[in-house]
Amino acid sequence: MRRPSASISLLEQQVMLAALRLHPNGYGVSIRDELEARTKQSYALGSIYACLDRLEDKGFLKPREGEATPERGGRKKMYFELTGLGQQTLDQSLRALDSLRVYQALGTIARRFVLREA
Amino acid sequence: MPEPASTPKIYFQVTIVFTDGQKIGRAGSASVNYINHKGGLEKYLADKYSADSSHPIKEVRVLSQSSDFIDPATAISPDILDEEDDAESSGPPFFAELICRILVKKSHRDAIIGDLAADHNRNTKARGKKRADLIYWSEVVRSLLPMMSRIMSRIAWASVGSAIGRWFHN
Repeated sequence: MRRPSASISLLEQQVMLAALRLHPNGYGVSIRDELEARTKQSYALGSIYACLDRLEDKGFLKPREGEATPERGGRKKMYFELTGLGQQTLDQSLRALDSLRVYQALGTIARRFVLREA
Repeated sequence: MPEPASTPKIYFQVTIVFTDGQKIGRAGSASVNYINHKGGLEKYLADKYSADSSHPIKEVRVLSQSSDFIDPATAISPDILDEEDDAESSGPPFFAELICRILVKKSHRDAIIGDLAADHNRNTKARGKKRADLIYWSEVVRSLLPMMSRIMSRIAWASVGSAIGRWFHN
């Protein structure tokens, strides 16, 4: 199996999945809210942006300027979209996880039915 | 005068300000025809609450009005009303925003500060100004470490790059 072009952490993986799910409206707050809703964990906006910045540097995400609204103090939103490279890396990372899960499931079945462990 | 039952209703949330400075929140409803007959929502409410209250009323501020049902239980508490008054005159905490402005990468600065301001705005409406300020500060403090670590890693890589450059130059 070909190795991913760069490794990604769990948070990076989660942020990329959230950006993909929210496409084309994924920005800092919406990505954080999506992660908090799905993982039931609290995230600081700064850690989300630090992660988005890392992914942007690696070429996995590309930013797009959005609209400015009065409640944002007239500041523009910045939407993030997955690049082709980002999509490929995310797929490889998820496939690696899936293959590990398959082996884990096979191990559980073997222990239960072949070795007769509880 | 009894209100006609079959006409459409307006649901409202109001702040009643008494002459002694005390404030209370109320939510209620009235038929559109009756409000029009009384000369508009503000006038209707001022008359209604003046008749109901023993304290003299300075003004009745309409916070929201809608043809959709507003639960009377959502009448806003006086504490939040006091905080809302403060909110009208100020945005997010100045120093917290300044810290953010200093620490955040230039290309993301507007996006992060805008997101935090939008969050602050939402929290001010839902929880009051003081709590929104507290949440803003906690958000900034929690964000310090990841923001600093990004800056430090950039500085570290730049130092390594310049050291290698100097080594080749010599």
